[in-house]
Amino acid sequence: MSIEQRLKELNITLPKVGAPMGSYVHAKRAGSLLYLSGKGPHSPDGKMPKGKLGAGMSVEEGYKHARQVGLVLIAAMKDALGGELDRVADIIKVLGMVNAAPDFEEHPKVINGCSDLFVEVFGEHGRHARSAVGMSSLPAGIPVEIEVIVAVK
Amino acid sequence: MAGRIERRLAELGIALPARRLPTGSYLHAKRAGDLLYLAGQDPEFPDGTTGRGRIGDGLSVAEGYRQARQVGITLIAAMRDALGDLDRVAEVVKVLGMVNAVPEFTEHPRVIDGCSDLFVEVFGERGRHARSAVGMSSLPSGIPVEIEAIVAVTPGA
Repeated sequence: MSIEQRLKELNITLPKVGAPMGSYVHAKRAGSLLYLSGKGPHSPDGKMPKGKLGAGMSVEEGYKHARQVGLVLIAAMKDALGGELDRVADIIKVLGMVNAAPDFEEHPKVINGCSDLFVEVFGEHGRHARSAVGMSSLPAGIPVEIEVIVAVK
Repeated sequence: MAGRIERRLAELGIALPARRLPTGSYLHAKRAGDLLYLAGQDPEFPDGTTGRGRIGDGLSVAEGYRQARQVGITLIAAMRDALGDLDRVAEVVKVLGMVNAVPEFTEHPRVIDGCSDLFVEVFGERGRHARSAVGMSSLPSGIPVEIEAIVAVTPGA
């Protein structure tokens, strides 16, 4: 099954990736690796969600936002690979950054939102090495930012 | 017959922890060609406890160094689990050391040295790596240090 078919089966529509917010690119190729810039969550209404885990935002909400970030990352992969998601060979590495209060401890449960999505969409090839950590602030007050390294065919 | 690195670990009196399961849908290590990407690891001590606390708020730099060294031991265990044989580690390439620190803390390098020194003790000059050492406002389960690494692997096998 192609990845596009798999997305359809999961009832997933990929969001549009906005323009970069500075002199950088969303994705850069180095040999067979594709490095993706840190992405924030997308809302269907086009607004960036704001919030901090452990200070008003629940782990469940954080999980949903991390899943949304995963969708934006898949959309960025698609843009970088000429529209062909089947060229994603493996998700290698994820760095999940959670906007969190100092006493927050459940970062893995938040970033699972993105990791679970990658396994749903790419199967075992979507399983990756990962770090999940807490940031004292993130751009535009977003609750989650995630960057990823992908191996491409 | 133990390999060269296993013998070196025994010489240093270092016991590697047993294989553990990740706490989510991810892996402790993933291979990309000749590079092995290791997930961020915790300080897991031989008595089964995991370190807790924030540097600059109860935990000293010396204690942070000890915690970072233990994270390094956990990382070497993850390399062993992924490669089967630690002699296949060709180079430690890159380390990202993340310290759970109060906002005014400034000595992150002296904490992460605990891991970097260990890699050089165990792997010799090949253990010397590029590194960033930075402060985090929080870490999973309140651990004081989380470290991820990229290692180059000897091709074959």
